[in-house]
Amino acid sequence: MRVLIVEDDPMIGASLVRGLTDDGYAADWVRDGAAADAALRDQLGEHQLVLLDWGLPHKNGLEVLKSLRARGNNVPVLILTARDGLTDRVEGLDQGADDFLVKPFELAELKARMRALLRRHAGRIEPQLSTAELALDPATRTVTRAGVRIQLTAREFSLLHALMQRPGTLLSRAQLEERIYGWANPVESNAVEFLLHSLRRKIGNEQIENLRGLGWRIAADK
Amino acid sequence: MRSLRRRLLISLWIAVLAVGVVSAAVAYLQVSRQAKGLLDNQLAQIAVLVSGPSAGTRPPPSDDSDIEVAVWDADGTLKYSSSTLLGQRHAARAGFSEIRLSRELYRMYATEIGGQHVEVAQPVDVREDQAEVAAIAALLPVLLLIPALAIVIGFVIRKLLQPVRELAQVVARRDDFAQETLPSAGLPTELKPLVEEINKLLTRQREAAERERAFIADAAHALRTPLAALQLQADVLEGSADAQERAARLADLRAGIQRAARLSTQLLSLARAESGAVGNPESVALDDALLEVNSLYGPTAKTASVALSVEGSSGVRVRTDLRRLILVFGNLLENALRYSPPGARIDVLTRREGKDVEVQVLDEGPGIPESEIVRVFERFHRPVDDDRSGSGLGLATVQSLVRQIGGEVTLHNRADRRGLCARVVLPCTNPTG
Repeated sequence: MRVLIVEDDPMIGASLVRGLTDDGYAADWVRDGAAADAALRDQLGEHQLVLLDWGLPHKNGLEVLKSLRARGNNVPVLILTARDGLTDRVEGLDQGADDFLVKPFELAELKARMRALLRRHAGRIEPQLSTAELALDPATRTVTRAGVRIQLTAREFSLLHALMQRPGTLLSRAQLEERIYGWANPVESNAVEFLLHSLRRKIGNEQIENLRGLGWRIAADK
Repeated sequence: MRSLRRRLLISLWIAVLAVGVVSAAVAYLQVSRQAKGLLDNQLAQIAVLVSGPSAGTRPPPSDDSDIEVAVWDADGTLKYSSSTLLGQRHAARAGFSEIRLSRELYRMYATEIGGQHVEVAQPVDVREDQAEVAAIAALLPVLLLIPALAIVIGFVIRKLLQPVRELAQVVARRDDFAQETLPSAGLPTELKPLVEEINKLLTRQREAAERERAFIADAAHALRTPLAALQLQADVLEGSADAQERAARLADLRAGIQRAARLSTQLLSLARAESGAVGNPESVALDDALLEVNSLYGPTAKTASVALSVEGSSGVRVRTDLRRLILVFGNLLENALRYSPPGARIDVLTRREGKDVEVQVLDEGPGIPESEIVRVFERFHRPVDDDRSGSGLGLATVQSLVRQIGGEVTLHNRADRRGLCARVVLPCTNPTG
């Protein structure tokens, strides 16, 4: 799950990157509106969620959001703001923001809202992702296979999470890399294969199908 | 409480009463004198009347004026007398005189007409009574007008002071947060300047209150960012995987706490600077402030491997208080230190310029983009793409303080090399000697 963080404060930005990386998110961080604009334009579809600070240098959050929506990009956007004025919130939501969080906020709440946004965006109601045998709970970060809990590393969890977003959908290696690794972590060429190998060992080889040269998918049989 | 209305009323009433009393007294005296003149004329006319051809044939018409008449022939025989009181001649010579007839005082007129001697007499009491009646009649309107005038004066004063009363009611009805100025339309010219001055004061106070509100809003907003950072830093500290990660995250949290503490200190000093509540101005030696700042920031400069050199001003004095000056140069020096790379120098130079003294704080940092030079003085403004910037309050505080001293602070990039020059010009209290 790859997230774009747009935040000008160095301490908040760094902590967000850490907090989200801890949970297996791939977090990219830009510090001003212009950079956010560029990232969202050039890396179309790379990010599944945007955390957008309202008060940004060069181009404020509202303008970034407006041009994002004007380009037809419907990536979920969660606004982070130090202003708690009603008009800001109303304007933000009207311009296409999906949720609002006023600083200071707790990381746990941010993560819960992010999960809710991703769930809604994927058109799901129940918080868990599941196939016939597997169940993944993004909130508790637990995975069960036929009711038995499986211990996964943060990266393995991210990989499975990405695959289980839409069971049956094929994801290429590049797409998986994008969702698991942020810009800050250079990806080694066989890192995804390595992760897939260890994941398969834990959840069962047959759970992940490999279509040679195309990519991988989770078995969608229900 | 000295009531204008009461004082006006009392002084006008006393004036009216005094004028009334004097004019009544004058009227009384004049009318009674005139009345006596008229009665004298009456006596003379009666004398002419009784000496005519029909004299003695009939007595003069008797009335309640108690006038007595007697006529003598040329040879001295009593031709006619209205009363036994005038049985003998009394007045030797002609004219008016006062005479006592049977214990009563009379006014008498004696004259010689056609060889006859005529005497006409009237009791003084009667005359006095008649004169008094006339005089009192003349007095009456004055006496009645005095209270009438007093009432009119009271009414007029009440009417004139009506705008003052209304103004007081308008002011009394206002609540503590009322923002609008007082209505000055239709006020008398004497009140208008007062109300206008009050309105100016109200406007100034409103502006000050607005500045304060803006400051509080800005401050609350500015405090949210470091608090949000602290919250997140604490949250990620909790999620540390190992001791090494934990130590790194704890260090971040500490830095965050330091930042929040520095911000609150700076907010406080800006609030103090803007409210002017720093200290009482006196003549302060600029060198004292520079020495103090030098000893405050010397150690920091040393740790950062920055060569700090502060040049004295040789006795220049500035009218302010020491704390203001220390805050000004301390903030400028802090900025210079923040942007100085290791091995750089910071020079503080002073120079007399007529009645002013110029202090320059020169650093060898990156300088600032021209587009930012004015904006960096705005409170909470932080330059774009600048990790080293502080709270965005230091320069706002400096500007506020320098303006209070009556000076000016400007920033410009150095022409001789890379770096920033902060230039402070302050008025001196001791002239160039």
